[in-house]
Amino acid sequence: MNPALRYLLSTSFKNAVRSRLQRLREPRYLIGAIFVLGYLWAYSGFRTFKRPPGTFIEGAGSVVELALESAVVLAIFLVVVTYAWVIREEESGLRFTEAEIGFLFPAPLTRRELVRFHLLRTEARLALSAFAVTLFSLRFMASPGHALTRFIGTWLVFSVISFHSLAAGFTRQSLALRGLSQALQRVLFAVVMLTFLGLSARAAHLGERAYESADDVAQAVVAFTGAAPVRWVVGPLVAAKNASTPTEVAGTLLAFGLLSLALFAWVSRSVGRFEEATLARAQRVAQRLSARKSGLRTPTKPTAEPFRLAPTGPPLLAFVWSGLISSGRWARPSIVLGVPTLSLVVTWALVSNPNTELIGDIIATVSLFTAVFMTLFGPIMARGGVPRLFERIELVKSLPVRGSLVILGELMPTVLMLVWLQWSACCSGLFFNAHDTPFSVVTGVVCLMLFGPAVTAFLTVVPFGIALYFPGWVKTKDEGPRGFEAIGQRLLFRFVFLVLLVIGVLPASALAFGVGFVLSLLNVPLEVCAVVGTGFATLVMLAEIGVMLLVLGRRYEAFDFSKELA
Amino acid sequence: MTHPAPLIAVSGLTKIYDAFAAVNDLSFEVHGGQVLGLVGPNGAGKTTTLRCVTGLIPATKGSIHLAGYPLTERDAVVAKQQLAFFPDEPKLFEHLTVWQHLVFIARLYQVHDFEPRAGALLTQLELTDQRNSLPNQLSRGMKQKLVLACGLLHQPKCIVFDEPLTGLDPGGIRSMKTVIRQLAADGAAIVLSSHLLSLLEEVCSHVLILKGGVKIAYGALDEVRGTAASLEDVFFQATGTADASEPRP
Repeated sequence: MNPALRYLLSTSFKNAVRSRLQRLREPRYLIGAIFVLGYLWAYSGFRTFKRPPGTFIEGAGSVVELALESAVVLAIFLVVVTYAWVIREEESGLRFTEAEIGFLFPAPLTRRELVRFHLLRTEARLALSAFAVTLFSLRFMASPGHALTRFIGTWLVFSVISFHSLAAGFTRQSLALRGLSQALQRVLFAVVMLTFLGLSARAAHLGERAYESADDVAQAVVAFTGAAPVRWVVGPLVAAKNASTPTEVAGTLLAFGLLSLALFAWVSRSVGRFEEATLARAQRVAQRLSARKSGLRTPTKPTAEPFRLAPTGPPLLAFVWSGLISSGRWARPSIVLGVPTLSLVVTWALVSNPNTELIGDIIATVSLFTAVFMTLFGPIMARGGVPRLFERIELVKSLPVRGSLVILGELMPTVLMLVWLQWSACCSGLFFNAHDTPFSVVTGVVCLMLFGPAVTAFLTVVPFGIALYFPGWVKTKDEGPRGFEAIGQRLLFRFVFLVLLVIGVLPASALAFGVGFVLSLLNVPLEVCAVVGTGFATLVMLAEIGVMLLVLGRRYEAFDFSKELA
Repeated sequence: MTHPAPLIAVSGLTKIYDAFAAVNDLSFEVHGGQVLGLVGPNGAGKTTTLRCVTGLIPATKGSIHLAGYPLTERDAVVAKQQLAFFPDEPKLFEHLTVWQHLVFIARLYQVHDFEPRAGALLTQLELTDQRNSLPNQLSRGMKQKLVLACGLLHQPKCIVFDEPLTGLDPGGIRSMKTVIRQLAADGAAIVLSSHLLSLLEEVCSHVLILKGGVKIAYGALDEVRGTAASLEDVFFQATGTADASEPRP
């Protein structure tokens, strides 16, 4: 590798590590880091790295298991190959930062040196990904085997996929320069793949078999994947996956290592023209980042206003109005009212008809689960408000508005969208188990429709708290997750969500039970007790949200973004 | 009298994107000591021209020579050894300090015994106090100066500036103009792209006006300006674009 590029990589790495270590001088980051390490030690597969080698995954047992395994391996192979040779853009560009483009592209470096620099840097990223995958996959495996071996294996598999994808891109570009158009290349690929699959299908006599049971299908899959030429691909991959003795494992790793090296050589030899696509890619990223920083989105066409905003009135409405416009096209009266109504009417119609009752039951069950899932996990998935808050902090901080109001305004669009989805699902969920205990189910769903939004709002506030107290761990740049902090951030998010949910729900639940119990002593019907109790619980949750908003509002007002987001 | 060979020679440069020609059959030369101002309305092909000349993207047709070396795949490394490119936005490596940027550039361009020159550049550009600072600790002007120091460390003969005054304060603007004039006086060939026509009039010896990827005026500043009052008048006449100061009917 060119000494200058080696210097760039090593010095950047050392400085990055040093700056992150220096950040640990701040107690909150130190606590966060200790938490992450503790979590990794206690709950992930970290400890298994110390286990002695010897135990590996058992091979597939029954025909069905073998068929499933072979089918999955073949499917992955087909997806990887099809993506590289058909779907991926021929000139999709390499991932270089704007600084690298500015300094390295006009520098006296060959194209090959640039590609190798890119490949080696990608290898470092893949190693980190392989480490994370190994760490977390070990925890869920009954027989994890030797962790280091698994890590190396995962890394090699990632490398093979990455190198293959790049080599395919360069080769397709070279074929195109020689006059073989993209369309013709795709046709050629389809012919090759159909021949590849067709020969095995013919050898396995797929057309002559009877498919009456699951075993019949499984046997057909086993025969198909065991026939040449599919066998040449699936056989080694399944054997590699099921390698159980140290010799088999060593052989597998060696085979993948050699394959990686061969693909590396292929990429190095077939270096194509990547500059324009790389430049375009870097510019797209920079434009997106710049647009985000200036508080602007890059929509393709204007979104209709959810409602007409009057020039006077509470500023909160202006935040909600702007947030709803940014959040997409769902916030129109026709959609907001239409979807729950449709959900209610369709499920009712299906459940009422004996011929379609089963379908209605299934839809109602799935909807109810979706509503519960949305209540608990919707806020984790929809953290859009936090990056938005930071992206336009310079603009928003200059507005004459209290901090708590800013946060409420930023989280309201997310909460409204989640509540709308919850209620839409609940409208269908009302018919869950409709013929047995309809009234108690309706009561439960009504309670969910009351309490769910409060829980959602409560959990939506949490990311703002984390972002304001741990801003360094919130993704504000368009560069993807970054190593340790990214993992730590996600873990901390989940842990804090869990703890705060328990803390927040406990007093509310206690009050709900208390009120319900008192009402039941007064001979009030149980359903009414449940709804009234839930109403009180919702009020408690709303009070808690109010307190959190006040605290976070003060933190936001004192937030020095020039220091915290540097 | 024989003219020395041009340091930057572009001949028949054409860049085609799908069916669209961003630059079409463009030729120009820049000799040592000359400053060529590249102007044109938005979409004229200035950026594409600069990118081709600096080797950021390959040309579809035509040839580019830097200090006598063709910018082809085989000779690109030798040709680029003589080149410095200053983009409009100073993009730096976020984890390298000011001094480490210079060390990196010295290795990249094989500048032996670079330390005295790097130290002198830092002093000249008033960056000595920021020697151990990371880019996120620098102001925009300081970043611009660091990019300048990096570009000048290997004493290039062919220099390309893209909007060099963007984001600079009055002091920075004056320094930049001085640097450009000094580099030309030292014998470098400079291509400078800018929308600031007054800047071009101040520092350029030659002008190339582009429109729709095609050269519409090219020559020494005085020749191009002719009898017109200013380069601005020439620009609007040549490109046929509306002059905002003109009253509209």
